[in-house]
Amino acid sequence: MKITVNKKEREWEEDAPLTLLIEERKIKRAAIWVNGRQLLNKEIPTYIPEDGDDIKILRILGGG
Amino acid sequence: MKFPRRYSRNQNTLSQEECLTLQKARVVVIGCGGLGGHIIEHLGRLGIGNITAVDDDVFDETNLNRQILSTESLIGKSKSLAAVERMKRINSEAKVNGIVCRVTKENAKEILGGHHMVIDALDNIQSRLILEDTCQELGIPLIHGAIGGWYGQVAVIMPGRPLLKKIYGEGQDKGLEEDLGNPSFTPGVIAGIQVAECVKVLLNKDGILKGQILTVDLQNLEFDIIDVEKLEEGRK
Repeated sequence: MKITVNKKEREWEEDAPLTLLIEERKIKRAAIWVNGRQLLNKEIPTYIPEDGDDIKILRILGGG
Repeated sequence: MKFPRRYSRNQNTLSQEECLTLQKARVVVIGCGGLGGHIIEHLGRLGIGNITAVDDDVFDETNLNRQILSTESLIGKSKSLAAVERMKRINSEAKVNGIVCRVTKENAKEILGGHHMVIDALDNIQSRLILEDTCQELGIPLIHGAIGGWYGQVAVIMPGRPLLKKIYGEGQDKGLEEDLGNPSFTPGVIAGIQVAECVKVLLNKDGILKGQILTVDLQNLEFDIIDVEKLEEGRK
C-alpha cells in the first residue's frame, strides 16, 4: 500500500506501525498529523497507517 | 531628508519609504544566544531603529561554536549587554536596549508591551509557550524559530492564530537539540529566515508563513512547509 509522508509518496507494509517511521527518521519526539488530524501523544505508539494516509511529521525542536 | 548611505544596499529590495518604516520599528528579541545573536546582527545592519535584546544568561565556552555575540574575552559576561555593545560598533543609530532577565509569566507583558514585533530566539519550550500566550494577549506578531542539529523551523504567529501549543503539546521543555546539539551553521540559516519574515510582517508584504511552519533539514537540503491551519481546516 501507499502512504504520503511530508508530501512524498512511499510504499508502506500493511499493519506496520507508525512508530517504524519515527524510528527510521531517528526522531524521539514529534508532532504528527494524519489526514489533517493531529495525533495525541498517546495515540502515536499504536497508530497503524492505512492505504492513502497523508502523514505530516514535525520534529520537536527547542534549541535556540 | 537625505537617506543614509549605509542603507543603500538594502535598496531596491526595500524602498526608501520601507527603510524609513523599519527605522521606526520596535522589535524585541527574546534570547541572545545562537539564534538571537544572528537576529540582532541582521536587525541592526538592516536599520531596525529600536531593538530590545533580552537574556538572563552569560556566555560560556560551549557557546563559542555558534553564538556570534560570544568571544573568548566575553566568557562570563551578559549576552544581552554584549548585544548592546556590539550594535554600538555596527550601527550607532540603532537604539538597542539590553534587558538582563528571563521572560516569565509574571514579567512577559511588561517586557513585550510597546513593541511592534517579538522574535523568539529562546532555548526551551516552556518559555516559548509563555511568549506565545503573551503575544496573543497583547496582539503582537511573534516570529518563532527553533533549532536542533541539522534541523530548524520558523513560523509566523499572528494575533488570534496561536500555533505553538499545537506543535509542542504539553509538558515538553527540550527537543532534538538535547541529543544533536547545535552546530555553527544552523542558527545563521534559521535566524536569517526569521528576520526576513519579521521584515515582511512589518512592511505588510506577501508570502508570510502565517499559520504555517517551515521545516529545514540542512543534511538532506529539504525545505518543507506544513500548513497547520489548512491541515486542520481540511478536516472540519
